[in-house]
Amino acid sequence: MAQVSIVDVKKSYGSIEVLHGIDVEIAHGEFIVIVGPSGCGKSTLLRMVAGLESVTSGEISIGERVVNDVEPKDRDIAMVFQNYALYPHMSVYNNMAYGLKLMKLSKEEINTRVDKAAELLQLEDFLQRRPRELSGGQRQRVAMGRAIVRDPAVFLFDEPLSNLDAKLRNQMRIEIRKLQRDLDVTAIYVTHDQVEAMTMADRIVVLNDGYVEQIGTPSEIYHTPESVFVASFMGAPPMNLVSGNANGKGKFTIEGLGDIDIPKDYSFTGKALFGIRPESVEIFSKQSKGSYPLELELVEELGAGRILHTRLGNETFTVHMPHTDELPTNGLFVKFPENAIHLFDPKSGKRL
Amino acid sequence: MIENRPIVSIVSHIVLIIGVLIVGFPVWITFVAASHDALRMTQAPIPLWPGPYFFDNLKDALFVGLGGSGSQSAGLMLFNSFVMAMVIALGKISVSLLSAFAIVYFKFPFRMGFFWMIFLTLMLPVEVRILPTFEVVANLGMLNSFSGLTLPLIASATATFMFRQTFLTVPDELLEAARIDGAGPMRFFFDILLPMSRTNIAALFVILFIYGWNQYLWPLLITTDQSMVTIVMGIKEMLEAGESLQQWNRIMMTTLLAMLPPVLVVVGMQKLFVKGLTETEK
Ligand SMILES: Nc1ncnc2c1ncn2[C@@H]1O[C@H](COP(=O)(O)OP(=O)(O)O)[C@@H](O)[C@H]1O
Ligand SMILES: [Mg+2]
Repeated sequence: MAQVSIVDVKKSYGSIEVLHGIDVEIAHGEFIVIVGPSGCGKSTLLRMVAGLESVTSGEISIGERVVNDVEPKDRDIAMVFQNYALYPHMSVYNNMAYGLKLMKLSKEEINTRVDKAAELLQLEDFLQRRPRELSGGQRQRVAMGRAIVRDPAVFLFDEPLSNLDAKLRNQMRIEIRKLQRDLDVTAIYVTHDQVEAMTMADRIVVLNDGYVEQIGTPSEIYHTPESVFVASFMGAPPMNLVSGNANGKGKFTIEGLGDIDIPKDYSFTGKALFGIRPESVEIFSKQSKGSYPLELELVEELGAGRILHTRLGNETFTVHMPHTDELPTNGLFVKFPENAIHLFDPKSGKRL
Repeated sequence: MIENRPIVSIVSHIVLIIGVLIVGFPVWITFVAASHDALRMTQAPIPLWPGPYFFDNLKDALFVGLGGSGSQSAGLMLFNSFVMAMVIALGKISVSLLSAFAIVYFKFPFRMGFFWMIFLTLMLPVEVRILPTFEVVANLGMLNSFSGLTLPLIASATATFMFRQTFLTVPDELLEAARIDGAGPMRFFFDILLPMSRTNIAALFVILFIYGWNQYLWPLLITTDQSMVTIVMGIKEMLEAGESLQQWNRIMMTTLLAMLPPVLVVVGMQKLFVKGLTETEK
């Protein structure tokens, strides 16, 4: 059993603090995705779990054991790097076997493990090749294989798919997820791609500028973002955020438009951000009660749907509509379903 | 540049052929001189075509030398030169590999200071520091020995610098992957860094072997004992060994022999050499 617990972990380089107290509890077998914009400290956090970076303060444990001062090789982890970090002068077989040889396993044991991993990853035909004779996807698999043969308690991934083309990325996403489930290991996966995060994670950790913005299942992150950052970072196209004034009695005033109805249980009064996902609104061609006019500026055709770039009052507003719905030609009106409305405090960025 | 006009290709060939002739002519004369008897070589005009005594001269030069007192056979001189060149080349490579490894991969006080100190020695080749170096070697009792011949030439800023650049191109993630795999620093050095620098090492070996082989001034200074004579300085001494007429045939044969090992090294390692100097992918 290998739960991972990260307690109040901070990291400084010199006098610059890049992680400001991270707390994450990861259960055995969970697939955790750490997502955030580049430079927010994802890799640093992962590398601290791996033991490649020292922990400035706080505590990291794997299983029951505090590992702050444990060497990477003794942490029962394996890591897959962004550019694979395969040993260029070794065959695929030796790339996978190298760590096992250093563990002083017997020849037969090494053979069995490498063969099993090669079979799992369909690498049997390439065992004698050098990494440079492999395609990107195959190298990616070898990197996975090198992690698998160690039989670790925790898999660590640092943007492992970012060097692959889109099609291969989708395929590997599914494979990694399947492997992790089959092998029943805990996984921590770092990415800046919110689609990867949404599709792969059991739980997502959204990191921003060295702070945890929110931890939750993909559905929680998507439907109840705790902050403006999470709301706008997760989801494509991002959530509409319209500034205005809440009166605390179910009305929200948008400049250039007027009042719109929001749920009565928002008691907050003052400047606020009104948020709604582009795909959660309802579109009509005629004005009716509780609908508001949109001014259409541009249509993006996606095949499976369309994105309408519009104006709501003085604010830009995007709408995502399924391809089955007709595009209204004369007049565009929008309704905001009550349960899809979010309100944020523009000062703290927090959810109201 | 790809040009297909015949005139361009004819002209460039002529230029190249002239170049080859200019370089090749002295070598040809050396070969010709090494194939005549001693008498013929003292008569004008000197011959331009090979004579019948090549193998006799080869035997004499290899095993007898000039034959007078205080002269050495080319065999012994070749051996001395070979040991010197090998020790210098391998010594330089090992020392520079380790110092580059230390400078790139370890954090220690004054790291960059040490690097620049090594770098500064680029400005101090043996010729510049020859007197103090001689003094040190003499005081250590290393005159007339292989250690005296080689040690002062082994420290190498160029090679250290080159290996440093090579190591800097090795991605950090490789070191991290090796750490996770359980490799300590020396394992990483031997299992990963060294094989990855293979072609660079080969290229450097070629350059350094020739550098060591061609050493002239330093061996001349510190070897007085005839049994330690190297072939490059030996040739010069043969010219001065004049009780009688110079035996050009044997001197030229010795010269031919002196050229041979560097040529063999270059030809034998040509592929690796070019790869080591041009390869950038890691
Ligand atoms: N070795 C280092 N020395 C100084 N600053 C570093 C170092 N490594 C990372 N940083 C800084 O820490 C922050 C987080 O980096 P990183 O974890 O690599 O971000 P990412 O989320 O893109 O993986 C960045 O601002 C980066 O500049
Ligand atoms: Mg990163």
